[in-house]
Formats: sequence, C-alpha cells, structure tokens
Amino acid sequence: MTFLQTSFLWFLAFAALPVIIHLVNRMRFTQRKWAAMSFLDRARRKSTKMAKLREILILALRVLALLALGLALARPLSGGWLGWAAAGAPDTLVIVLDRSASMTGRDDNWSHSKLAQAAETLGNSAAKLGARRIVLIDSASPDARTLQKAEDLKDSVLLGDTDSGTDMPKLLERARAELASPASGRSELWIASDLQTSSWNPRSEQWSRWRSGIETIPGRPQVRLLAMTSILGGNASIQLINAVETSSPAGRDLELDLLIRRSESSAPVLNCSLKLDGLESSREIKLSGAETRCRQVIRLKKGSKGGWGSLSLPSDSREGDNTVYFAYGEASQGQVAVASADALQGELLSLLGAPAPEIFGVNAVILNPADPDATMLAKSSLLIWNATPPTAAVLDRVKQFVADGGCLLMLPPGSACEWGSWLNYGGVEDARNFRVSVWDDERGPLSKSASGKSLSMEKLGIARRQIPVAEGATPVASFSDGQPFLLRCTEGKGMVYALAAGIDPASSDLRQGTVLLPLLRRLQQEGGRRFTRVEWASCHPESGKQPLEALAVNRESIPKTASAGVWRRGDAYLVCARPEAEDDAAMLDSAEVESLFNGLEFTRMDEGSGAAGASQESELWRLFFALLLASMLVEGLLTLRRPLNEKSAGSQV
Amino acid sequence: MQRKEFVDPKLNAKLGRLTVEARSFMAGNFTGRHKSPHRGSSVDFAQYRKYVPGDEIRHIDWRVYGRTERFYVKEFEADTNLRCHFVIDCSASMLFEGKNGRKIDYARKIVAALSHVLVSQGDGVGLAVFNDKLLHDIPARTSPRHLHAMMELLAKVEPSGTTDLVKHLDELAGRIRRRALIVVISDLFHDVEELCNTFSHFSFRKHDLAVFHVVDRDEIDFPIDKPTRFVDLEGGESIDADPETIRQDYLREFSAFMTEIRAGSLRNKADYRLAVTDQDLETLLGNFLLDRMMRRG
Repeated sequence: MTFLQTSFLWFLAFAALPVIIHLVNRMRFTQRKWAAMSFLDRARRKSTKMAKLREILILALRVLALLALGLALARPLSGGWLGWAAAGAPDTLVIVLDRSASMTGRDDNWSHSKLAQAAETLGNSAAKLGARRIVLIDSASPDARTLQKAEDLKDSVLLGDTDSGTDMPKLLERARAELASPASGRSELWIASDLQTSSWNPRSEQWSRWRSGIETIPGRPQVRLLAMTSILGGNASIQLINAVETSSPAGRDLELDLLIRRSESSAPVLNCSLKLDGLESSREIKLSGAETRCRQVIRLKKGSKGGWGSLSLPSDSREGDNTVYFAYGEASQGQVAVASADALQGELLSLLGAPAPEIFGVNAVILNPADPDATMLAKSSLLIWNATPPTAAVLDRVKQFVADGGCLLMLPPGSACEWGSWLNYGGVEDARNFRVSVWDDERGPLSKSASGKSLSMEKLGIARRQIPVAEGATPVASFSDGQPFLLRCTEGKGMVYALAAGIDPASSDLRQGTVLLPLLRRLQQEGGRRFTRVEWASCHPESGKQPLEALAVNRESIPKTASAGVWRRGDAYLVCARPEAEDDAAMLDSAEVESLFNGLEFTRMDEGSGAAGASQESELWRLFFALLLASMLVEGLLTLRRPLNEKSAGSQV
Repeated sequence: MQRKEFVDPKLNAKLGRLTVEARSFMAGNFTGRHKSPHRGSSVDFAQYRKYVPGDEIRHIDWRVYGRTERFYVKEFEADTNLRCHFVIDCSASMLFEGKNGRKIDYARKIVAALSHVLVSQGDGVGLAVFNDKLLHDIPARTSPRHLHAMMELLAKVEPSGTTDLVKHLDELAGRIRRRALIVVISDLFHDVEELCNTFSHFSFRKHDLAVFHVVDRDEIDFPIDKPTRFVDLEGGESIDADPETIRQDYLREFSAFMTEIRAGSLRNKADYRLAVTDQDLETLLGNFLLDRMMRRG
C-alpha cells in the first residue's frame, strides 16, 4: 500500500493514545470512601466477561477510529501499481518503457494496446505519486527524456506504437546511469514490458553488471516491474525472411520468402493481400502448424527501375505484425569474381558461381589473388577467394568490397593462417570422413529450395578440412563434431563466409555442385543487393536521423523509422522491417524474472487478464473515513448504553 | 455536630400540625391519644359483656337488664400514651457523605423532627444508638427536658466501627415488653433475610415498627466514571475498580437489595420508608405522618 501523504503516517502514533489513557487511568485511582462495599465487591466479582469484552471493544474502536483517521489523512492507494509499497514520493522516477512491436498487441478485453495500457497505468500512478522529476527511457527513443508532467506518459503521440525491437539490458543500463546521477536523490525505477524473452535476453552478461551497478546506488532504488503478460487472442504474423531478384529469359522475378506464424486460436486459412506499385491482388494461404514458410514469386515489369509493395494478412489482435514491406531496384545483379591460386579450381568456381550467364544474366571473372582489379571488384557481388590470405594492400581492397555490401566467400587456404581481422584458419585435418550434420535450412545460403527440399548436406563427402575460427561469427553449418563447416561474419553492409572444405577432389566432393551451386547462387544474390538501390533494415529509432520520404508505413510512429514501411532516401529505397524476434511469443517465466532482479528491492505486478480496473489504483481515504465514522458510531452506541441502564436502575428505586 | 444543625424549628412548626398515630394498640402508662388493648373509661363505647361475679355492679347496664332480664356490663375503650423508641445505626457506614451531606446527619434530622411531634402530643420518646455495641440506650419519656437531653446526646453521637444490626434489634425487641412504636433509622447494609426475620420479631411482639432506610443518591446511581479506589468506611479495606466495568452489576445488585428489603419490610408489617439524603425531609416525614393519620381515620 502506498501513501500519498506519508507525513500524516506519524498521526498513526496517536492510535496508542486511548490505550495509554486507559492504562494511566487504571493507575491513577481516585480514592473514595464507600459504604456499600458488599455490593461493590459482589459486582466486581460478578463483572462478566461480556463487560470486559465491551470495555476492550470500546478501546479497540477508539484505536481503530484514530488509525482510520491517520490512514485517511495519509491518502492510501491500493489495488494497483502503487499499491505495492509504503514508500512516499521519490525525488526521481525513472520509467523504462518497452515500446517494441510485441507491446502493440491487445486482448479481447482491451480497447488499447499493451503499450497504451501500460502508459496509462504508469501515467496515472506517477501523477498520484507526485515524484518531483520523471525521466522516461523507452526503446524507441535514443535519449532519455524528462517529462514535464506525469500525464505526458499517456500522450499517444509521444508514445505511439512501434515496430522496433527492444534491447532491455541496454535500456536498463541507461536507466542505471540516470539513477546513479547525483541529481536523482531518492529514486525509483519503473519498468513496463511484456517480458518477451528475445527483448530481455536473460543470458546476457550485462545483467550481472547492471545489478551490481544498481546495488551501489545510494538508497538502492526500488525496482517495480509492470508485466504485461496477458496472452493475446487469435493472431497471425508475417515476416519477410528473404527477398531475391532473379532473372530468367521469361523475365525478372522478385522472390519473397515468407514466414507466417499463427496462434492456436487464429484461422488456419488466411487471405493474403499483395500490393505492388499501386495494384492489389490477393492469395489464399493455408497454414500448417504454428509456422508456415512459403515463397511468393512476383513477376516484375520489364524495364522497371524499381518499386515497392507490401503483403498483408487479415486484421487480428495485433495489427502491427500483419504487413511486410518490400522494394526492388533496377536489374543489376553484379558479377562473380573468383580469385584462385589454382587455375583449374578457379575455372570450376567461375562455372559454378555463374552458370548459364545467358539465362541468369550473371557473369564470372577470374582475378589475380595477388592483385585483384579494384574496378572488377566494384562491379562484383560475390568474391570467391580460393587462395592464401591476401597481402595487406590487397586486403584493404577486399575489405572495401565487403564494406560496400559485397559478399566474400573464403575457401581453405591449405595451411593454418590468419585471414585479415575476420578469422583464423586452423591446421589441415585429413584422412577422415567428415560429415555435415547441422545446418540452417530455414534461412540463409543453405536454406531449402523453393519446392521445400533441403540441400543434401549430409551426403557431402569431406575428407580434408580446415576449421575457420572467429569471435562473434555465426556457424551456418556444422560438422557432426560441432566444428563449423560454414561460418558467417557481418562486416559493414556486406557478409563474409568461410568454408571449412575446399573443392579439390582430395578435400571434398563440393565440386559436384549439389551444394556449392545453390550456395554460390544465393551468396551472389545476397551480394547483388548492393546494386539494387534497396536498403533493408530493422526498424530502429536511430535510422531516422536522415531525411526520409515515407512511401508506405505500418503506423505513425515517433521516430518515423520505428515503424515498418518503405522509405525513399535520395534515389534509393529503405525498407524497414519488424525484427523477426518480435513475433516470438516466448516470455520470461517468474523464476527467470526473479533471478534477473535477484538481490534488489524488486516488486512485480502483472497486468493480468486485462480487467481495466485491476491496473488502476484507488484512493482508499473514503473507505478509511467511513471506517472512522463507523467506529465512532459503534463506540458511541456502546458508551451510550451505560447512562440508559443507570437511569432504569435508578428509576426502580 | 451542634444540636441546632439538625433541629429545624421551621420543620418542627410545619410538622406540629400533624400527629404521630400508631398503627396498632399501644400500651402506655398514662392516658393518651392512642388506643389501648385494655378497656378503660373513655367516652368511646367498646362492647357489652355478660356480667360475671366480681364485676362492679355500677357497670351493669340496667336498661339492657330491663329489656332482657339478663346482666350485661357496658365496656368503654381505654386511651393511652405512646412510647416511641428511636433506634439509630451508628456504624461508620452512616458516615457516607454524598452531595447532600452525611447519612447520619439525615438520620439525626429524622429523629429530631419526629421526637418533637411525639413529645408535643404527650408521647414518650427514647433512643437507642448502636454500632457493633449498644452505645446509648435512653428509655422513653414524655418530658421536654428528656427530649432536650436526648437531642444533646444525639448531637454528640459520632458513627464508628462496624455494625451488628440484627443482634441489637433482636435484643431491643426482647427488652421492650410493652407495645411501642419502634423507629429504626439505618442504611440496613446487612443480610436481608436475617433483617426481615428481626422485623418479624417486632411484629410478633405487637410493636409498631417503622423503618427509615437511609441511603445516599450516589449509592443508588453510582455516578462514578473514573477508576477509583473504594475504601470501606467500616473496615478500611479497599477495592480498586473501574466503575465503567462494574457499574451494571453494582446497580443490579443494589437495586435488588432495595427491592428485597422493601418487600421483606412490608411482609413483616414494618412501615418501610426510603430516605434518600437528597429527599426533602418535610415531604418524607409529612407522608409518613399523613399515611398513619389516614389509616386511623
């Protein structure tokens, strides 16, 4: 229970007054000479338990009346966010608000989203609490903001829904810095979130550092968590996994790999609406299970220099995840550059990297690994490096190629070495039958084909390998012993891939092409995006610093790029997409939350099933005032009994 | 206490127009205004009785003989004086003092006023004062000088000690052989049953018993609200009590006592009078005398 006027709590001490007066009176006997002692003695002995009970009751009622008066004056709150603790108004209130896309959902009982509900609850509570300074840190704003008044929290413009993600450890670290500032004084930290596991990242090492930091703050601020964990009603979400432009003699296509998730209560058949360059069409999609992957192939107009579109699912409990946006540019896919120490292998790689150029429109060039032509590199989308690592001068060219958005594929150099600053290759391991057992067949260069068939990675014969090792790299495929077969690093706008097996017959049967052909094709497509004038990005508040022209947006958010949509930046398109993790419904359980705040002054309130009243604090002073009146009334009735009875006894005489 | 403090001439003057009448036959030494159980020479005809040898011939009613040829003796009522014995409880409980003074003082005033009326009408008054012992016992006499001496004694009486009301009343009932008016003035703090048995003793002896039950208003109403140490006037023992807690039971007990003592007195033909110290004495005694006068007719 929280009290808005804590100074009046001192008044509660007066509740002891009736007891003290009673005890003092008992000790301060007035002496009186009496004649009818026998009656007095009998009366005292016959003084029944009821009389004593009545006396105690009167005393209790007097105490209760004073308690009720004190509590009423202290203006208690209960039943909601502030009904947790008996602390008064802090000097500084830091509010961390999760404004990620997952907070935009609403259940059947709510007229507002989780975010709006949380903002309203916190706004009302902060207004009642009367903190001197309120600082808002939300996931969609790069900087902390000091609010003029608590009601600003409820401002829908200020806190519009977003399609961005949340890095909760990072947000809390910013909050810690704010709390630790000397100007904060006595402070509290309020957090409102849906506890989405992907946002909270409970395995992050930042958590222990954050806890230590909070514990060192003088006064150890109270941490309160408003958990918006209610389960949404029927919902389906759509994500664009990959968008690839392909060319064929028939024309130019845009291949969209889609991932549709659905909750149990959502419809199994959805009508998917496609908008492209102002035209709208629809397609029925049958969903199987919780996740369905499908590919939408869109035939682009001949000679089109670019455009954008969207795919939408029907309306449901979470509007924000029903639409994905895409864009395409001019048909310029770039070429495949091969830098190989072995000419034969280089020829083979160029054939595999750019098969049937007359059909697919992609050419291959062979470069000298000792001095690759920078002009050729600038025209390339994929660089295949089948040689020892380059010299420093050449390495700079390669790095520039990757930074500009190109895709680099390294093949084993044949001996242990350091490959730039990206990774190290270990020693050669051979004379064994290595098998690839784990690979990501959902997305990336080893994903399933359009027909849904997986690449035959497990049939790949590998007799010799060189393991690439890199900190922070992601293994796309791994051997059965856990060592990476294909490693991926992100560098600038581009990607760096490293294979553990070469294409010479003594190393593997990659040259057969069943794996290498689609791998190179996809890497070429990935690198080819650098020429399409389409930039793909996750919704993020910091993306909005450059002037943008909105072409299509999912919602009106502040900042603009916190919303999914298509933007024009100069002559290029910027496609902002909702982070895929935002569609993951996994939430932290209570034990995980407790462990994250272990050792802190932490309280949690769940928003529950969405009953609006449950989140609202109610001032209890009326209740206590009624209790005061009731106590006084009953006490009066009990004490009034005495003179009435006296009169009747006297009248008998 | 000075005599002038409890002898009120104004009250005596007012009550002087009334008389003290006995409710039953009295046996006095002199001719008076009260009926005697014996036949005498008053002008009031009593009865005819058959002549028996030994009766004086002059008492034979010859007119009746002329009509009936039988001898009848004509008898007349005998009038005698009344002897009143005041019995005052002088135990320390009579020292109880309320807003209207002490109970003993109220008792003194009753004795003084009634004595004056009785002596004025030629009746004799006596006084017995006791606590646990018989302190004073003055026989009944009719002279004003005796009344003066009695008042002087009454002024000197100061209550003390405990009381043994029943014992002394029983002794008194046995000692006074001739029919008399016995006026008991006490707070009657004694076992009610024993007390009523004592009253029956007086009734058995043909005495006319009047009981003035002196109580203070505070004893009836118990108007105390603060925790109090009650000190016994008679024994010095004390009881610490919170009046709020015991009030109901005290009032119930005291009320029951009053009811029982009144009922017991009436049952034993005693003329019970509740004398609350805040009560107007003229009213109390006026009613007492008038009731008796009306009964006589």
